Amino acid sequence: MIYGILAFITGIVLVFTTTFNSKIGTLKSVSVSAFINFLIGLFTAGIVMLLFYETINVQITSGDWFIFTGGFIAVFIVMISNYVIANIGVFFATLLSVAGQLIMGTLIDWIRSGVYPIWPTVGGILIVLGLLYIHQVEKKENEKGATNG
Amino acid sequence: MKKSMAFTNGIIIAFMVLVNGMLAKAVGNYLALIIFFGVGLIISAIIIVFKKEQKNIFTNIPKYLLISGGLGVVNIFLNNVCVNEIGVALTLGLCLTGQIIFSAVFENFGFFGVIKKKLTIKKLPGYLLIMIGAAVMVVMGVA
Repeated sequence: MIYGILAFITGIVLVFTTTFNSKIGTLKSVSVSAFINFLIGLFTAGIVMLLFYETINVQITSGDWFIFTGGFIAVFIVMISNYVIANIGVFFATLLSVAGQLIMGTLIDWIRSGVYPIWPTVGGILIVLGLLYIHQVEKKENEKGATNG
Repeated sequence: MKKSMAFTNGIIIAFMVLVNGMLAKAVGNYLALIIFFGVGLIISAIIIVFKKEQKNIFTNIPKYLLISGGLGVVNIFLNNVCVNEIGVALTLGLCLTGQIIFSAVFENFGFFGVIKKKLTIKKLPGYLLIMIGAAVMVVMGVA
């Protein structure tokens, strides 16, 4: 339960970061925005590390090289989403990204645990349906606004 | 083509969340943050040098916007903790719900200069459906 709430809070924080980053992106460029983010992020992470660090047994084998690629992947996610939003609009970019995240997330959990995660699927379908419903309402409201105005 | 890129982006996000979670498990939550932001910094630095955008990086940026780098640390930290406890699908599902609902709040009030989009009563069933989806995940999935 607590981790579910923490994941939800992550989403709230993400709205702030996305809004601020896109503002830096329009003032400068997407790559500069990413650079500033990682720079301040590294600085903050350094402080956090100094405050809370505890020694742990690091266990990495040479086959695990890909676990270091998160930061690399993140840069490209920012670039791709910026390109996609500019080309197909926020709504479809969001909807398709949500679908991709949930389907891939479900597959990963399925492969790793051997048990099909049924509840994320049910919840995920409801979320996608909700998004489609909101999109339909917005479309109608925009049409009305266009004819009235 | 562009639509499949949006879908692929979602797939990559799920993969990144998994990879970050694995890193946190291997080296600990705090060192994982340093590695994630360090690698990202190097890659983005290479890109801006390549695109010749390295001049006057910090000029004309309102100071409060810089906080997003700090908030990014909170994001990655929480994601790493959650993934290792409740899995990728639930972490992303609940995180997305938080994003969808708070984006609507931001757009309704036009916070931080976001384009205003009124939250009308007609849209509420859609948001209700999304919240039921999240509730199903928390109550049945996380337990």
